[in-house]
Amino acid sequence: MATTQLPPAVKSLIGVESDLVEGPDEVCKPMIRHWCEMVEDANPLYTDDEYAKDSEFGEVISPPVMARTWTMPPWWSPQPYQEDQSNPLAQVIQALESISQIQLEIEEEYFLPIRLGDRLSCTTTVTNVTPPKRTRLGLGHFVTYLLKYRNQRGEVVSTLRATLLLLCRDPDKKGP
Amino acid sequence: MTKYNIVYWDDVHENQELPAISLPITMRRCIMAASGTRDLYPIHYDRDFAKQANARDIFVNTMFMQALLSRFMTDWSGPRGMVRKLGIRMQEMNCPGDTITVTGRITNKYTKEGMHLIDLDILCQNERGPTTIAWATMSLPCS
Repeated sequence: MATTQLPPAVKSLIGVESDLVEGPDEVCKPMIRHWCEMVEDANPLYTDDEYAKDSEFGEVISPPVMARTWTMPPWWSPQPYQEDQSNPLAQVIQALESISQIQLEIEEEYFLPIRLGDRLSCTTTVTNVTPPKRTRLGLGHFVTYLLKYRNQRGEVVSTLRATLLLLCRDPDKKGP
Repeated sequence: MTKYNIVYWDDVHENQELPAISLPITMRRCIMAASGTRDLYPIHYDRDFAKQANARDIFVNTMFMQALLSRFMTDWSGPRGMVRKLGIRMQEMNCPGDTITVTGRITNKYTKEGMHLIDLDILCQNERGPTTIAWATMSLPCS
């Protein structure tokens, strides 16, 4: 069994979908413009009302690859921000006592347009955790996870699959 | 009629190269990237923090690289080309003072579920060498 060296607390988190966490902002033109500005993206579908009116969408839309930005948590809010206690990825990181995490690979798929006024939400599922392996960067677990982005109608607009390396303290090595 | 370029699926072929784009990374662009993607993790704007974390300097985040790759594809295709899939593998950082150049080519051309699709292999490099490997699928209009 590939998972025999994993603590039961970690094994039990594999395949469990987190609660739905709602992004703080509605999809809006100013945030789309700021995103275009940073990479100098002149695609008129994102910022040119005149062009977009005659497109298949009838108005400007969010860049599809902006899904993750719409679901980033707020950095301040008037009400204390409730961290998602159900997030299985955060729980795996904690249970394995990981000292740092390195994002290795991500793949996103885009199914539906993200429209002005949409409110995106996201769930997280850990799909696999390997036993500890020795890597060039140290001892660590490879973790794969899946994010599902939904709009306010519950439709999945896009997904993200990622591989993360969770580095852990190596008991066989002395020193810090 | 539109003033924007439209690339039709009928007119592209496997192994076709897309026009390269380049973008210089400056301190200001790093700040725009942190704010534009809502990713305020300090490694992306705080030099002391980045160096303590053994990074060469602050560097642009993953969402910025996705945005640049999306721009690379639709700059070429025009606004009727839609990104359907984008995978990326981060290998090296892109820091202030670096210029990122994006190149890519079509690896496959096919139809699926009524869409006219192409697959692409894309590479981001800076003066130090390759930084990000990417693969993508786009749909294009059919004439």
